Amino acid sequence: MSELLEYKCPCCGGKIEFNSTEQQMKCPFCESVFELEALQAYDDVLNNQPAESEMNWEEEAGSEWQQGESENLRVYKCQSCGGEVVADETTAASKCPYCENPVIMTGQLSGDLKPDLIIPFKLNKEDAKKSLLQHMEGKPLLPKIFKSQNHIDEIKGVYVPVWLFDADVDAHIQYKTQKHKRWSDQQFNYLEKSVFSVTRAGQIQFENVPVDGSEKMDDTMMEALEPFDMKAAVPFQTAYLSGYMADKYDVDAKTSIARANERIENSTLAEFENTVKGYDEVETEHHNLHLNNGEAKYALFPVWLLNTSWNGQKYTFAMNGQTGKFVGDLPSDKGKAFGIFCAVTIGTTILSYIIGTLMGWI
Amino acid sequence: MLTCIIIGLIVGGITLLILLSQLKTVVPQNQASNYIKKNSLHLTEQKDFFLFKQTEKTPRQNAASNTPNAKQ
Repeated sequence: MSELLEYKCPCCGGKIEFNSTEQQMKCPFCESVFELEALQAYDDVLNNQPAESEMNWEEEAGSEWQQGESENLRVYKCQSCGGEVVADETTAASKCPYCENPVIMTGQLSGDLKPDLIIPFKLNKEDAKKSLLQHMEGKPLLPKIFKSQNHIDEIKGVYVPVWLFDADVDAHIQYKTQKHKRWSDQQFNYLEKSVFSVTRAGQIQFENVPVDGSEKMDDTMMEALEPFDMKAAVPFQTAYLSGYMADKYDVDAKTSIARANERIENSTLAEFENTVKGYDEVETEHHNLHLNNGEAKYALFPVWLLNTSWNGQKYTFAMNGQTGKFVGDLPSDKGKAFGIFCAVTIGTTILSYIIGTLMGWI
Repeated sequence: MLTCIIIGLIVGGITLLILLSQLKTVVPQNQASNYIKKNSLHLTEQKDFFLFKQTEKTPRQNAASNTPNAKQ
């Protein structure tokens, strides 16, 4: 069975967790605070462990696992209460469902699976709940009863595995541009187009372009939560995971690099186009980009996930656990939308008729 | 009057699109501009060549209404 790591308070034996407000390990029972360096010794265990991949499952009484159902499950034993913690093959940190003790699956984070960096949580669960309420403010098309009837089914702090890519880009881009000159006489309007051939070539560098390394986390949602401030990233220590959930990556760097390079190329084209100034029209004729990717880094980014339900539908919201940026699609009230559309249309029509009449255009 | 209705419909449509866009916040980031290393953009070649000029002319509406057959 894979080894579980739990942080116990040396003073009272209670479970200690990483406190996002104080940015230290804190015991919620005796209020003792511990520096992360003091818990460094636990991480030495990981450095010497090879990556583990163990298949360990039990059949439940009265039913048999269908083929393939149990392949992705792992079972661990909680060291506090002895309860069984069932998790999927990517879970690296979780809570015991019986005693709520935070547990860390060391086998998922050892050897080659050990993250290089982690951005610790800076905001807590209450901040996430407040952000959800703020997210619903000032949106006239949101059904009124969504706010009152929508309830949070689940709220969890998750460290999402992310690949970070660096790249040096050599670019050579050709544009066709135009300058326009307009004038009129009594009979005609004139437009003179001066056409130019423009070349821009050079280099640009990117660092820490993130790509979601977890299939469970929606890639678009993870991108919508950006940016994460890399200045707050620290070398990984398991202590940061205590009290939160975490997954190891299940999308490898080779697969993720395509998305990073796509974003890098789009940005390179945009930045070089910004250097083409003084023209009324700019059209890219062809481009030649050469990307030199550096070594990928493996990091864990903090995200608060909130699952809610309303009117028989599930809604998922996410908050950047470092900056507080909140995202999540909301439903629209179709009746209200039609009403607002009609009101604005009629109002603008009347207003433009009045202005047109006063100005003598009608 | 028709022009006023069209203006009303356009403004109403734009207003609706803006209000609906407030509800959709899960959007992909197709660029990586936040991750550009500061001052790393260096241009090694910058050429702008003039190719040719062309002029287009379109008759003015007032000129059309000055013709003998135009209605006053």
